[in-house]
Amino acid sequence: MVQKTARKRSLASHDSAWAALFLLPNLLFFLTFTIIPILWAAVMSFTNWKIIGTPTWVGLDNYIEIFTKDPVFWQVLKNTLTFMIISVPVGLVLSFLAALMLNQDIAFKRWYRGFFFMPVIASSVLVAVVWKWMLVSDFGMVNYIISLFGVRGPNWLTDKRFAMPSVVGVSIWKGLGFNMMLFIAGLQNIPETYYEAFRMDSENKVKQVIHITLPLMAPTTFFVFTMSIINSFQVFDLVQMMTNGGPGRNTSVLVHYIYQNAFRYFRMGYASALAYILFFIILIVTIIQYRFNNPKDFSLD
Amino acid sequence: MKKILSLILCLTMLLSLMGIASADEKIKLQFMGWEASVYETEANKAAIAAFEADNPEYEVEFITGKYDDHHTRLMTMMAGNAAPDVFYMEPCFSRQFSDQGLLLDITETFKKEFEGIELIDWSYEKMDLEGTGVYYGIDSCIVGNIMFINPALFREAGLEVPSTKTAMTWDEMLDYAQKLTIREGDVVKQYGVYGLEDRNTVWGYWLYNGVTWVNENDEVKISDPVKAAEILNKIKALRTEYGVAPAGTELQNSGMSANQMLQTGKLAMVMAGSYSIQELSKMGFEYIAVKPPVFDHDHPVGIVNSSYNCAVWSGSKYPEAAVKLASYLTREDTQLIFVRDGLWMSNRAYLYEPENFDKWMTDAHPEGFEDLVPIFQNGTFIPTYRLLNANLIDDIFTEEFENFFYNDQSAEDTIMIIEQRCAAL
Repeated sequence: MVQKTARKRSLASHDSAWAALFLLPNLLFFLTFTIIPILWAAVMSFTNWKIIGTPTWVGLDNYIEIFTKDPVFWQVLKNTLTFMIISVPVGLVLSFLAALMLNQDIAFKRWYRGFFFMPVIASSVLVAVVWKWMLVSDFGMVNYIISLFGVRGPNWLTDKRFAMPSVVGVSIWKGLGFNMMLFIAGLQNIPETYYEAFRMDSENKVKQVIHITLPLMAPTTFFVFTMSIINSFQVFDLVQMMTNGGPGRNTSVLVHYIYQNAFRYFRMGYASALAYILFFIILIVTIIQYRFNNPKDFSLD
Repeated sequence: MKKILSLILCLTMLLSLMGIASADEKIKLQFMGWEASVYETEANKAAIAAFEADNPEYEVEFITGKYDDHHTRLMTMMAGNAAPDVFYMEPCFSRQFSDQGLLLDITETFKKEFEGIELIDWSYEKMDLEGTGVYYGIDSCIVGNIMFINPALFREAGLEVPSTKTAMTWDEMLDYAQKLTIREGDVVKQYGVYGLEDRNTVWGYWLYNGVTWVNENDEVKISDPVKAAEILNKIKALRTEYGVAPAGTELQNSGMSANQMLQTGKLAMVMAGSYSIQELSKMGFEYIAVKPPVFDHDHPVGIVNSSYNCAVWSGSKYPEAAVKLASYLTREDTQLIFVRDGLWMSNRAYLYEPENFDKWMTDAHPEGFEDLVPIFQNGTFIPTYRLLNANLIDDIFTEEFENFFYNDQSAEDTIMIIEQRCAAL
């Protein structure tokens, strides 16, 4: 018996050694390209490093400058929050509605799902270029369609009132399919028996969604919500390609400003400090989400 | 027999090795530029081929990319110790690189190679950015904004084609633009004019109307805010009040370049960089270039410089060879490859003398182009490019000009905010 246990232990430790060996390359990769740069950026945020040369320790100067002397930071933070406040709820609702529709027994639903998912796999650069062209005020397709109804469309990307909504709209359009697929997966996990039980009391579809679907979709919704918030804080590619932060700084978001400081103004230390501020914002928002998220919400009342 | 065969084999091997050795002896240099058009790359490759033919001991690899990423790529390549030996260096980035010791001081080479060669005045300013007499790059390429016109559209509208000899007044230009703007309902099919909301164009109008924006203490301070605001308002009115110009950034998004729009009759007059001559001349339609319109003839508008110096990386493995290449690329005969093609204008003062026009003016240049020579000769260097944060200041001007042109920010506020933001740097 003792011999058997010892053998089992030996096999287990043998397996662990093999597992560690196979995990080692990935761990080394993760360490080299993720952990070390994250720690390096933390150190750099306290220096005035300019990509090249020896960094000089400046203590909290970068952080003090960001919070007290840099009006652009507050503007890009406001833009980032605006982006999040519009894109997350609208994207969530639209993708949920799309999922509800495409979870029904309708003809060609697989084709529809495919069409909705197509923008997700398209490159952001391609999407941005196509939409830029479609949103041109005088020669663009969007204003042409609007003009058929006798309305003159605005300058979508150069008018500050429309630039951010335009970028947000394209971002929602691009991400809709992904969230929709997550919702569809969630919807398909809801047992039919709940709906059957509900139908004994009522045939009202809206009430069914409110009382059955929504509560049971809470874990999926929470996941999509959290990911959407994190993604909205990290938006960069569409902004860079569609407006480059303009007009003025009206669509410049935090990551765009970090990029500019790091690679256009060569202020890597300052950019690292901005990146850490972004990191803490996302961390705090995610913690708050988890705090507010009651596990009971995931069950049927 | 075996011995002879062995001997032949040995000799063949030896010769091959010698061949490899001699190939290895070639010094490999890298030269990086940005691509304003495919024709620029072709012209650069021709210049490199000429260099390699004259200097068979060198092999040059040409790297090209977009202007927007050029200096970022350069800096990161330097950080990775893998930068090209010679490269284009936009003056507004130059001091950020030279202050970190990344550019080789090539003052001595310049003095030796350019001894007895007189350059136009502002070319010296462009190279001696710190005003200390130390050169970190050699100027060869000058460009500036001029006005391009599609004469066919003028004739179709029954208008006289503007002269190359005398600049239009602002009112004349506005009158033309109004007559050349064609609407179908709410949709504009053809705009009269485009390109005046560009930052460099605004700077040109400021400078030539007595407004500067850097004071003697190297602070960004607009010398005549009233005049500066008046100029900004006049330019904006073309689009917002008269509706004869499209928004600058809108047009860039349309997928067609301004040159293509000039060709296809979507624009009648375009203010654009003189480098457009190269592309326009190959597009197979009639166009002319005229002087920028003036507010009054006492203040003719010249060009404000941009474009690059040819610089050498201080970390180059072959600094002497790299300096030789940079020097070659800025020689008159190399420069003329680009100038004759319409891409650049020369920085050699003597080439602007009428007797030397035939050295550089070709069929690529539109009819009457000789009349535009003075505006290049008397160009002005952008004053902020002397400052350390020149590229950041560029961006501040761009952003605040956009806020003025597209975001209802008043001209007075724009000027005030620019000064405040630059002071905070």
